[in-house]
This record gives sequence, C-alpha cells and structure tokens, in this order.
Amino acid sequence: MKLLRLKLKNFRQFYGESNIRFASGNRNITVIHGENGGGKTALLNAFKWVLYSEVTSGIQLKDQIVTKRAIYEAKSGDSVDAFVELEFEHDEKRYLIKRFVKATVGAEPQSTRTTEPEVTLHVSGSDGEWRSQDRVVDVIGRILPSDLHGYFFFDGERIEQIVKLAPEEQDQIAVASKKLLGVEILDRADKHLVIARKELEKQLKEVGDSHTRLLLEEKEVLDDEIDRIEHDLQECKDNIRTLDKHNAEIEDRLRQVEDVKALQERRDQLIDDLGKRKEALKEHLGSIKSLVSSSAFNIFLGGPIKRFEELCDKLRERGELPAGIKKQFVADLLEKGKCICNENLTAGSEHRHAVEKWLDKAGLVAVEEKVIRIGGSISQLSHELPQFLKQLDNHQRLRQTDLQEASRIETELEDISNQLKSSPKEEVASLERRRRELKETRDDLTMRKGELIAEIKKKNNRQEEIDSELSKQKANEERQRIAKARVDAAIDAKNRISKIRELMESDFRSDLQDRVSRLFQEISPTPYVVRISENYSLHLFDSDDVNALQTDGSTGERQILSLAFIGSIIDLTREYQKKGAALPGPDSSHFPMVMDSPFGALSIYRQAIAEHIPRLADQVIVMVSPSQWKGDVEREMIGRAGQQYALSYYTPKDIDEVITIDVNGKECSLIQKSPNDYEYTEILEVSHG
Amino acid sequence: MPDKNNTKYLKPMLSAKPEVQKIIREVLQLEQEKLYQDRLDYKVKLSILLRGM
Repeated sequence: MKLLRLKLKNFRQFYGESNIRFASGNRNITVIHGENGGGKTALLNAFKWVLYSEVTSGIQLKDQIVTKRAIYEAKSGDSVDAFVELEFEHDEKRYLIKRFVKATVGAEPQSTRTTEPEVTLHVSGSDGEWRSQDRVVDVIGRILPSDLHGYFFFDGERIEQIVKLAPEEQDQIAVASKKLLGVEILDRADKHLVIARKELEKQLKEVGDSHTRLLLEEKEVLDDEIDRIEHDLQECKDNIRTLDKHNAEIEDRLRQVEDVKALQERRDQLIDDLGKRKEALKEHLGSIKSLVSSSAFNIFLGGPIKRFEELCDKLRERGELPAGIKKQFVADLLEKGKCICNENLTAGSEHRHAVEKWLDKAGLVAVEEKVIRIGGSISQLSHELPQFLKQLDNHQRLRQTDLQEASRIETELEDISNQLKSSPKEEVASLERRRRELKETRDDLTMRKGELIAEIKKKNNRQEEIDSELSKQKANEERQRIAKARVDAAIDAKNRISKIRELMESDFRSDLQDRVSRLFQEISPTPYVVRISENYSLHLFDSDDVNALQTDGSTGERQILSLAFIGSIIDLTREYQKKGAALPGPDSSHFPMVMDSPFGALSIYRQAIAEHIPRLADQVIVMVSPSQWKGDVEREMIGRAGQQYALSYYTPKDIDEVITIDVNGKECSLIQKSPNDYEYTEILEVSHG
Repeated sequence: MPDKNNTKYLKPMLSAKPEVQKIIREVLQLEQEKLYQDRLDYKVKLSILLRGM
C-alpha cells in the first residue's frame, strides 16, 4: 500500500477542504508539524476512519466527525458534508476510498443530526478507468488487514503497549502477523482439503471393494468423532477465556478496595513473577532436551573409548605402534630377492627369514593411520562428556531454583488468597471465594482441554493408519483406481500444506527474533537481547546467555522494541513474499507507517530512532511537535523528507504569542488566535521535495 | 532474488509429484480469491480441480 494523497473536508477540526500529498521513493518521509492539540491525532484518526471506520479510543465517533465551525456557520436546516478521501496504490492498481457523513443543522447547533457514515471505493487498473467496488471491508482487509492496522497507523507515545499487552492481545499479534504472511490462506486450504477428501472418499466407497468400504466407514466414524471433540475443545477454550475475563473483573474490583489493594497488587506481582518462572522453566527444559539430543550419546561412549585406548596400549607394548615401515615395501624387497643392504634374500636364507618377519609388523601402518585419525576424534569426545555433564548440571540447577521459587510463589499466593477469603469485609471475602471457585473450574477445564487434545491426536493417528492401509490396497478396476488416486492426492496436498505452514511459521518466528534483536541493539545502547515466544510476545533479557534474566526495560526501551518489532515484521514479510513467490499470498511488497509523535518519551534515543525510522517502512508519515523535531530529529530526517506540512491551529482563546516553526527558512504559525472565535486547523504545505 | 529451492518451507511443495504440486498451487490460488470473494463456489471449483486429475 503506497499512500498518494489524503483529502479532508470538515473532518474533526479541519475546516473546509485540505489536501496532503505523500512523499515516496528515496525521500520517503512526509513530516507534519503540529503543536499539541493542533490536530496531529485527528489526522491520524483520518487514516483510521477512512480505511477501517475506527478512531483512537476516547473519541465519540459519529457526532464529532463534522467540524463545529462548519455547523455553527450553517443555517438551521442546512446540511454540511464532511469526508475523508484517501488515494493509494497497491499491486499496480490505484484505489480511492472515501468515507463521509452529512450533518443536518438543527435550530440549535446541539440538535444537529449526523447521518451514519457511508463509504465508497473506486479502483483503477491498467486501463486507467475508475470502477466502483463493492465489498469495501474485504478489499481493504486484503490490502492491509484491519487487525494489523494498529501497527501501521499508531500513536507513537503509546506504542510501547505492543510489548505490554494482555495474553489475549498477544495472541492477536500472532494471528495478525500470520495473516500478513499468508498463513490464513494455508489454514483455509488445509481445512477445505479435509472436506474435499471426505467428498472424494464417499465416491471411493461407492466404487471400492468390501475391505476398502470397511476402512472408509471406520474413517467416516472417526471424522464425526473428531468433529465432535473439536467442537467440545473449542467450547472448552471459550469457557476458559470467559472465566479469565471474570477473574480479571474480580481482581480489578479487589484492586479498588482500599484495605486489600496492596494484597491484590502483591498478587499481581507474584502472578507476573510466576509466569516468568514458568517461562524460564520451559526454556530450561527445552535446553535440556536439545542438550540431551545433541550430546547425550557421549555417556555411552565411555566403554568403547576405554577399549580403544587399551588396544592401542597393547599395540605400543608389542612395539607394533608406531609402525614405521610399509608392508608393500617389504613385499617388494622379497619379490626382488635383494635387501636394501644389498644382501641377497634367497629362499630359506637367514637374511630372507629376517626380512619376512617385518611383513607382520609392517602391516600395521594402516592401523596406525586409523589410530591417528580416530585418536583425534576420541580425544575430543572424551573432553565432551565432562562438558556435557557440567552443562546438564547447570541447567538442572537453574531448573531446580526456578521450581523452588515457583513453589514459594504459589505458597505465597495461597496465603494471600486465604487472607482475602477471611477478610472481615464480606465483599472482599465473597469476591475471593468466587475467584477460587473460578480457579477450580478453570483447572478442571484445562485438564479437560488436555484430554480432548490427546483424544483428537489418538483418532488422527488411527486415521493415518487407515490412510496408509488404503493406499496399500490394490485397486481392482479403473474407477476405483482413479477414485483412490484423487483421495491420495487430496491427503498428500493437505499434509504438505500443513507442513509448509508449520515450517513457514517456525522460520518466520526465528528470523523475526534475530531481526528484532539486531534492530533493537542497533538503536538501544543497552546490551538487552530480544526473545519472541510462541504467541509472538516480546521479552527483553539482560544478555544472550542461557541464564539471562528477563527485564522489563524502560518506557523508552519498550518503544524502541515495539518500533523494531514493527519494522522487522514489515521487512521480513516483504522478504518472505519474495522468497515464497511460488505460493500465492497477500501482496506485502510496500508498507506505509503513519506515526503520531513517535519521539515523545524517547528523549535519549531520539536521534537513534530518527536515524532508523526512514528504514523501517517504505513510506513514513510522521507527525511531530516543534520540540520533538528541532535538533537531532531534524538533522537525521530532513535529508529524507520529501514533503512537509504544518497544522496551523486557530484557537478561540487569548494567547500571549503566536507559536511558529521555521521550515527551510519559511515561518509557519502553528498556534494563533482565531479571527472568528471558532476553533479549527488548516493544513499548509511548507516544503516540497 | 533468493533461490526458491533454498527456501526450506517450500520444500514440501517442491518435492511433491507434479500433479500434487499443481493441486497445491491451484488450491492456494483459489483460497486467496475465495478469501475475499464469496461468489466463487469453492466446493465446485475444488471438486473440478481434483476430478481433473
């Protein structure tokens, strides 16, 4: 998605019509200068509203779309239009999306009625003709999925929230990132090929022999059972989610009761710590597993290594090692019948007998070569065992510490729960009792979830056995052969698509971790290392070591981490699209990034962030206040700024002085007294190219 | 341009029999279209695709 032009009319505080053209190419930054309250957030909302009918939280949408000045200036019964229109390019097509409302002014401005927002979308292809497009949500969703838009149009000051999200929101990040990669398409293909396979199996059953029919009947029963269990599993997951929500509500209420607020906050901290310990435990277990699978064989090598050394020692004792002379050389002397000392080696002679004795010894040259070769590896292996045991001990010790700490935390949590349960305040006691009931139900459900997953696995295994049996079956006639080939192809295609998905996801996650870490380290002076968990949650560790401790980082560091994460997702998705061009997928070749005040809390990192921002996305629209812009940020970004605009804000309040900004020697007013007592903002182009 | 054959995750597709490769590509193409255009009759298309083997 390459942004070309934004047009506003009477949207929020932008009175009348305003146009912004966006920079792209080598100078890909569009800078929009504005003071606080000058309309930066309103402009960010213009993007969100026109594309997704959304705005940042805290804004009552419908009745606040039309600028007040336009309403106050109109007569009763007049109608006032307001719209946002965005033109962009995507996948060699040009798009024009417009969202608009109409306000009918009442006798009093407060009684003005605004229509529901409407949207139109026009698309122009290679022939240059504009065509109206239905299904706007689907088309925009294909270009930049709605649940991802928060990564591309965001309030910079709150961006660190990406790394501090609640678990269910972290899942959303995983889902959204996968969507960009095209995993959703693989998922759908997987699901639909199962349906296709079932259809094809019905056809095979009609033409198949009795044994084939029997196997297919069993498979059909298994299919039904799996469907039922999957339904139960989904229900189980939904119930767990509902319980978690209720639990969060209870904890929230406890946080508001003054007497037990501290206890609940302590519990929050402990739950957070417990989560970290459990995460660490999982990691230690993973390290132990990988260590055992890569090096545990050393344990079994003790015997063979000892035996090898004993054999070598014996050979040395007998003087057979080192060999020193080649067998072929001795054989040649005997063949010629002459020794190197010129003595004749006639048959039966004493000299010949002496040379013949060397034949046996000389034969060990080959053995010696092997001893040297194997000896090198053996020496290395014998060092590996103690090292392996040491590393294993280390992991086990850390695991033990985490286990003990987890158990201590659980005890303290239990203690807090007991204190709350026996609180003299009935409200607190009752809330805690309810919380415990919920926890017990949740534990039961978690167990049930595990059972259901195991049941599905068992039935899937049986289905695989049947598939394998079916493909071994000989087809007796052509019709059966063709039907069988179709079933086999559907199963094969499905399995391969599942495998592609699995590999793509794990590659992507590990590449993403490397890239985020690299980018984070380039920007941040801290030695922190980034790790990304399975659900794409981001964690900072104090080093790359296995024993590294997790750290929360400052707000500034979390902002850098979030920006590094977004930049890396953009970069990597683009790369994967190139690599995986053989697979159909979403067009992810060009991404914009629209940021409102990305330098707010960054202070010491401003310069580094400003240096990296142009590289994070193909096109950057950045909204800044003069205090954020002047200095490091301007120096770093000015060379890449292709367009600059100023949000010139008119306030009805009296102000001491007009606030201005100097852009390329041109002075622009950012805040000034309104000449007509209305509050509004004008967008001024201040620099082009 | 990276070598597509070196892309690990594509190997399951590239190592399939040609007819299965064709099915995978076409099914994914179909899914991508279907994702946003419900008017395509998915079942009909998929069935034609597999019957065309």
